[in-house]
Amino acid sequence: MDFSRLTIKEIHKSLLDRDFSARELAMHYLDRIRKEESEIAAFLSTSEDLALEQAEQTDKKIAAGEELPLLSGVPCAIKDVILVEGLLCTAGSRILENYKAPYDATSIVRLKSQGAVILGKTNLDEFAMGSSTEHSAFKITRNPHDLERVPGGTSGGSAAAIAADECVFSLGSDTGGSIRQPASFCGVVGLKPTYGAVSRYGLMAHASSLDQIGPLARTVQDCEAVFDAIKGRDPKDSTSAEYPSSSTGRGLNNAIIGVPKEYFGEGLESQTREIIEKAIKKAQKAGAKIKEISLPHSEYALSCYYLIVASEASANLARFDGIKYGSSEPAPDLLEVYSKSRGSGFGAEVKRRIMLGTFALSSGYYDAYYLKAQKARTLIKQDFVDAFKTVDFIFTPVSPFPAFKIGEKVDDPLKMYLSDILTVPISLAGVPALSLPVGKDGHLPVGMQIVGKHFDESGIFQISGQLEKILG
Amino acid sequence: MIDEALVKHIARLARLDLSDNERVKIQRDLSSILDYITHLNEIDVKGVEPFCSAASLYSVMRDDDVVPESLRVIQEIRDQFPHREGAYLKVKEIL
Repeated sequence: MDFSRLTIKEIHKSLLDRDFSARELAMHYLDRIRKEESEIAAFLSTSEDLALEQAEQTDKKIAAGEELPLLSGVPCAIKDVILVEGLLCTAGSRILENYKAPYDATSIVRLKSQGAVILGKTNLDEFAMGSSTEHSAFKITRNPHDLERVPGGTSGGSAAAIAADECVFSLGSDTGGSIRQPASFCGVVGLKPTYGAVSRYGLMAHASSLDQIGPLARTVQDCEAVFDAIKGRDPKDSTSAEYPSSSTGRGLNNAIIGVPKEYFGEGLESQTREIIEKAIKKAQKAGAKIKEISLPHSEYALSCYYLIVASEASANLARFDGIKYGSSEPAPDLLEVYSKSRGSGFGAEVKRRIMLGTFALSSGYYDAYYLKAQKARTLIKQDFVDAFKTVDFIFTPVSPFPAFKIGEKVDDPLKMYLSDILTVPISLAGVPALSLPVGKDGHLPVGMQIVGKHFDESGIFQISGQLEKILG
Repeated sequence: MIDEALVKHIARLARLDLSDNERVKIQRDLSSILDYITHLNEIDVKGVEPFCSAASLYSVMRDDDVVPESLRVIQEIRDQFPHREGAYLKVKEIL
């Protein structure tokens, strides 16, 4: 039996037809992980016992002739910033090196209730701060398309694990591009849902006005199946929304697609531009109306984003103080326990952002930096509100360039931040966006960003699925 | 604008121990990041309300009742306290 690169629906059908058992499938993927990990290093830990136990439950259901949910028996991987009860959850940080999750995140409760099989926890930039997964305190994950290059970040492990066929789907989190950019670099599909569409209970907080959990998968249909399983209101997350069932109901044949000129300017590599423009032409051929639009405040988005994200992170990470959990450094008084534990537990990028955020929020600088950024954010969001009055979707590149070399940007924070320039405005506006592989620059995948209206994930899935077929 | 004294002040506010080397690097990094950010000053934000939420959220109220958490979860959390005495979290004296 060839298990490689089966879709979720194919797995579901095969399990029902008893072509193979959930246990056999889980064993196959655990084996794949053992084979690939020495090169790819996508996982921080594996959970063989949990996976086999979950697979057995699926097999029991099949034997008993019970109703089988779509994700039942499907092997997946979880970004190590989302809590899975009983498993380590390190956030890629020394300060949580030995932290064991006491409960399940709501998205995990929902995956488990469908019977998904959890293979392990994937690598990420420390506390989801970075764009290459190089800021993990534990290991460097490699891009399966080119081992000398990064998988993107911060959900680099989650994207690389799919690309290397170490799992069928994964969960990541996206604050400013952390699902979309690695999906683009690794040639997989990744969705950042609408702000509020998926519960964040059990996701370690980075920047709370931006963070979203979302799925990564090999196909649009797989991505949609996982999103459907995890979306919706959760009483434990008051920012989660009752998911509305409405959609624009637009397919490629009757959609109006906006192409913002600001996303095709300086800094965009010519190969990437060509690939994206070709994909847009294909959409046009399929009947979509293409309209050039302007999102006039785009150029301010990166500055606005980094001020807000660092400010929120500096507050959210105050909880890691050597007192309640995580590593604790001995010191003569309480204040020193805090500062020593944080000083030795956090890595360079986390410290940099805590410092930037604390500065932007501090007395004397608050108005000029944080408040200014919050006002700019209103204008950036308004750009999208205005644009979506005349278009149904917006197409842009995900990243100005394909996967870069390991070590190329890691010592220059500004260079690294520029990788996010095309994804952060969407996050600031809170609208959903999916990264769809649309071509290759040499051997390196390039993703197109398909942005939709608030809560129009179904519209995004519909036209992405059509494009996926056309681009084949 | 970011001098050594300011870096020390921010690090104290952030409760973050930094080595001399780290302070030098952060001073340099923050300066270049803030230089980049200065173009935000070009935007006219007169009369613009600061952003409040990406979702059209409303205030969420619930009854002020205790929702009991499973004792197993509580025990698991307690077991991971860096320092404890019995069922209590132990910290250094403050006064």
